[in-house]
Amino acid sequence: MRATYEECEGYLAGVAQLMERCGVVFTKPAPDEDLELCENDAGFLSFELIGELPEGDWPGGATVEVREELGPIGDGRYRTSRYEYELIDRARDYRRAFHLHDPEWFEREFLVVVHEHCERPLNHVDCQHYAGAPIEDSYVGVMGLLDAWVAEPADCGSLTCLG
Amino acid sequence: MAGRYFTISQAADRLEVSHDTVLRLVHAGTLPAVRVSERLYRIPRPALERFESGEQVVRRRVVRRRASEGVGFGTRDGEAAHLEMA
Repeated sequence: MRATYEECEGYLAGVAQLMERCGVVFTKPAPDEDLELCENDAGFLSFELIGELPEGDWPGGATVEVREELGPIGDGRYRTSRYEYELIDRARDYRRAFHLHDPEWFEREFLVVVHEHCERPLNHVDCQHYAGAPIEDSYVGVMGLLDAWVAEPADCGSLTCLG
Repeated sequence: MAGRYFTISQAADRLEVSHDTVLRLVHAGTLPAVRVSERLYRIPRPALERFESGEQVVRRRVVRRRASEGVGFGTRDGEAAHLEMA
């Protein structure tokens, strides 16, 4: 994802709107609060969106979390530098997550840039990091979480463990 | 127990519209759906229920906030700590 500051604002609003269209009820920010695009001292932009999918027939419900950071690449533009997409499916006692952060460390250790997490039951960690595919942007990330929610839980043991 | 998703046909029955109308809503992005294959979509139940409610999803305002640090990454798995030590 590459964008100007104004496009990043529109992008954040669009991602939040997609989550709400998917039935997510926000807990962060609260339903009546504005969305926040944070800018740190180094000029990196970041945002965090957290919400719940309705429990319905699945007691315990599920939490979805979206975090993305966009770093300045010059000429007033920004590019995705980190992301985290998290599904905590308490009803199924299951977690799936898709991450890009600390790419230099992961490249040095495992020759990869992105990784995934898979826990079933929750907090049962057979493998710290699984291999994964890069996610283009947070629209794709959100739908990836919904995909994980509607599908049968992944067999964590069938994923490729990096270590 | 109700399923977590609807197929296009199930959504069409529920909304009392044609299969093609549901596909148009999906392709227009009005009704979010997970694409399973070239022709297969799954519409998450909460998405269809939200759509059925007729409640408008208002595009929210974005405000800029200066912060010495931004959002935290790798905290759930304790990765931030072990990466710092590496």
